Amino acid sequence: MIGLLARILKVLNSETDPRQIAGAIVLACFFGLTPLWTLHNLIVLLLVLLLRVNLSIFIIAWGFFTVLAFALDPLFDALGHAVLTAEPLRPLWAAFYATDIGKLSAFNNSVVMGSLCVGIILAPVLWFATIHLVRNYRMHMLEWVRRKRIYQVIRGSRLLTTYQSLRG
Amino acid sequence: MTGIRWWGLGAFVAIVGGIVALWVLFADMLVRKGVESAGTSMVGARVELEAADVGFSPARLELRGLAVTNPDEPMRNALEAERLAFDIDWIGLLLDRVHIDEVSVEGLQFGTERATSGAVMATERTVKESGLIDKARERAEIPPLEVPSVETVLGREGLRSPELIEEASAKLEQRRTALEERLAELPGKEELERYRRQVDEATEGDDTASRLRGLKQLRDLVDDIDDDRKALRKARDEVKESLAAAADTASEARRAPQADIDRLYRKYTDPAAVAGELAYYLLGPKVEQWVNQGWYWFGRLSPYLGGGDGGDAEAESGPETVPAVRRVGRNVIYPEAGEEPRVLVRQVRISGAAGGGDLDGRVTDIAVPAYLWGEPLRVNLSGQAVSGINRLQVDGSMDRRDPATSISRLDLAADGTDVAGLALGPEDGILADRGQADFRVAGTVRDRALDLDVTSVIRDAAFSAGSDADSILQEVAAAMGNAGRLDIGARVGGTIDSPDFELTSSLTGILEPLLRNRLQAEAGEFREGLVAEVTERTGGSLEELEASSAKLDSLEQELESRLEGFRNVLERARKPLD
Repeated sequence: MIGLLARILKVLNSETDPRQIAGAIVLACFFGLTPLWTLHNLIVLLLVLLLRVNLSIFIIAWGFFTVLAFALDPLFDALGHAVLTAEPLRPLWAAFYATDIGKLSAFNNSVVMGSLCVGIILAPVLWFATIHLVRNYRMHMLEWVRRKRIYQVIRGSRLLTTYQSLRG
Repeated sequence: MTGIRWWGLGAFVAIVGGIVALWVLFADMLVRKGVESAGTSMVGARVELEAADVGFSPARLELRGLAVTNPDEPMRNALEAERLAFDIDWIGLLLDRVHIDEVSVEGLQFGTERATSGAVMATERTVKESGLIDKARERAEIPPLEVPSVETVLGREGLRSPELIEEASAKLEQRRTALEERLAELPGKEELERYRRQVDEATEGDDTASRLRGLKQLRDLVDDIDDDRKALRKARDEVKESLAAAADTASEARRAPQADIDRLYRKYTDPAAVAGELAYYLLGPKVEQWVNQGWYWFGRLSPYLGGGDGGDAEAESGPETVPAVRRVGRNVIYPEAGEEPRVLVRQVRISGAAGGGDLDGRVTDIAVPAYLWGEPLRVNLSGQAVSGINRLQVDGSMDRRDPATSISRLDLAADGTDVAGLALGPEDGILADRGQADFRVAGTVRDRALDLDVTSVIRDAAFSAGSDADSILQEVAAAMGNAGRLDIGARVGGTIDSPDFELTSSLTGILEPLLRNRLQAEAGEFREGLVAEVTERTGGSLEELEASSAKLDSLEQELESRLEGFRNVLERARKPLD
């Protein structure tokens, strides 16, 4: 837990571009909320590795969203089913379903579609909110946090030292 | 974002390549585990596979040493296959689509013994739940071979007559209460007295004016009295109808004790009836077991052979929703997108039975869901010397192309089956020492309606009782000692939810002579005792029934007397007007 906190603080307190953090959180949101073995997650994984998003934050956020997804599965199922059976969208879904790529994407699964919709809705919110929060944190809270005893303890802990030594 | 991380592309390729490499490396084991796990879940008992061999170029799967446990007998395999092989379409598998042109099955055997039990946690439960008919267990008590005492019979058998008489009495009381309430609403003695007084007053006057006034009053009175009389007459007609119905109820109840006497007398003294009970006791559980086993497999495999409900109610007007395979949630399917079956096996070719026998045949057009494929599933198998059966012929079909009018047909013949060791009775008390049986199962399951015939002929049959069997079974076994030919037939009709089961057998004829002398000697005394006991048990309630009936009759008389009074006063009122 201390290691986790330390990793978050390290990223927040570093010079990392807030957009790299926001990108990591947005991609982790898709990766964690939607079922893992889907075609779009292969693309998400490619983006995570190819784009210069922060990997530490991505891994932490992925864990968080995966736990959240377990709790929200019934909601995803209901939302996805409603979207997939909505009469105005039916021609679009039917056309996509007729293609191999459509079937391979598993978009017609209620949980995949529901979680994807939630991910799409959350993505811009998470992007702008994260950038705003990180910037404000660095501007107004960074110095205050650095002075806090808990930060000193975390910074000086053996776990963090070990972690940092491993990271080089 | 500051740019592209090119080493990330390498990492991505390494991760994806690693996953593919792991799959290739462990494919055999994963397929073996997958078949065992999915098979066990399908069958409800352990399914084992010795080895799976996944070939990638050409894409082909070979399964060796498949053993499927019989859930009803976990120490026996329902079937074993030495080898199954078929080509795989990897792209199709990624799309959740299994399309196979031909599956080749070799070395098929049925009913082989297992070294260890193949039961899993759910086996016992699934077998119990799957029973189509369960009548033999309800009649699991062996009928006596001599006439029992009246007390024993009445302790074992429920008399229907007391209940019927009480029900009839209650009905008569209900009718009486209703009629009394109706009578209370009708004009009675008070109205009659008032009319009489008014008629007297209207006819009292001596002078002309009084007489004229009286005549006017009488005219009005006649109308009123006539209305009341009509109401009474209508009520009387209704009461008569009600009394006729009550009389039917009462007479049915009066006949009930005699019906009870006749039923029990016949059941315990008629040699044919007792022999029939005995035959059912011995053969019922075995025949039910055969039917239930067949039904178990039909129910278990049906969803994987294109059965099932075929989606939810939305299917009629919109997209169809089905449970997702290998995922959580539900899959929505769009019929207008030109849907293909998720599973389609064009042909399963079976050849060469293991153990020296010969089996040849094929199963064609296995499609799930079946309504997306133009052909029904067909089975055609023929074999010789397969698993102790001299000649086996199976012809069947399962047509679910239109879920609303699905029909499954089966015609199975298994001739020359050695039945030595076949156990009869719920406790397996009688064993076949020798015999060759010809079985035939023919019938249809149309929607939920059943029409199945099971017939079997056991030739050169000889039976004996086990050493720990009770004396009755010993005697029965002695009578069946050299039975010769034994015919057994069962007919299953009705619906899946409420099946009818009828058993016929020549065993009744074999056992009847054994019972005739023993039963007839004691029949007269038994009947007298039965009459006395039933009369005593129903006498009191019959008296109550008669009392209720008499009360009802008195209500009719009461109504008639009122009607008579109104008729008289009406005549008196009319006379001066004439």
